[in-house]
Amino acid sequence: MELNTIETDAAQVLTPMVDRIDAASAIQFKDAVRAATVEGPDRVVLDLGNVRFVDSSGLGAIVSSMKHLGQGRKMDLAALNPDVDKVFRLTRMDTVFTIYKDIETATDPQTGADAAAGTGHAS
Amino acid sequence: MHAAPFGPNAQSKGGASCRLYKARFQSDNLSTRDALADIRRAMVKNALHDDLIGRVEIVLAELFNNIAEHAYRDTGEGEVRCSIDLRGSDMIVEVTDQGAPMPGGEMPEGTLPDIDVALDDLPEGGFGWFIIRSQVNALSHHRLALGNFTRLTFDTRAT
Repeated sequence: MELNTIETDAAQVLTPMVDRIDAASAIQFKDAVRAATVEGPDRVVLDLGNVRFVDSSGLGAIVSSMKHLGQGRKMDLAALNPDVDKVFRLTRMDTVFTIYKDIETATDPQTGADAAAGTGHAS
Repeated sequence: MHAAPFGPNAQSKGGASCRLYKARFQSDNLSTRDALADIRRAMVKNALHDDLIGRVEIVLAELFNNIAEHAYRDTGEGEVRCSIDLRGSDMIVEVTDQGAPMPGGEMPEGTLPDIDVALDDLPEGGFGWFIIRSQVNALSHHRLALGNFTRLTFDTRAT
């Protein structure tokens, strides 16, 4: 799976270049995120701006990727479309991840710094 | 195929009825994805609202994934048949497979997995039936002689 990576001062931003993270692409997604985050900043922001659809397999893959980062690192989410946001809210995973409305807010020195310190509540 | 597998009340309700979609496809991931795309297109073409289209897409994705994983035991083989009809204000979706029975013969309760746990223990699955049940207005399942029949009803007026 194609995954764009940009490092900012606030985080490593990962942008999947696909419109679905579903049963057909969950494994490729996990592999791509693992490969991209072997080393790098403690904070990763997953930019879901291209993603129109996430099913429970895709949700599981995102949770798995976050767990794989390990203690001391964290994964935040940004730019969820309404259907994707709904899956996170329904399953209460919106309480596990910090969710930003867009990538600018997620990487803003102010809001991003708060989130990096573990006090962010930006959604 | 004849109408019988689609259940006892499939054709009995009166009122305006419109077939939105009918197809059969293999239960592998990519065929399922294609079917979901066709279903979305049919709903968009019929000017159904975005919230309903989103609900139907996630529910059918979960149901089809469950059929592939459990009824057909991840073989990637096995046919899924799906029809979608608008009847009055209801959307009726009927899905049949020829796979294994539900565990215990019933649809799973779909309890949301506990997420108030340590990071390493966060669930990576087990959400499917919870999502299905939370997004439909009615749901029924019958075991067929060979396979499963599931009917889902969505209120097209609900927001």
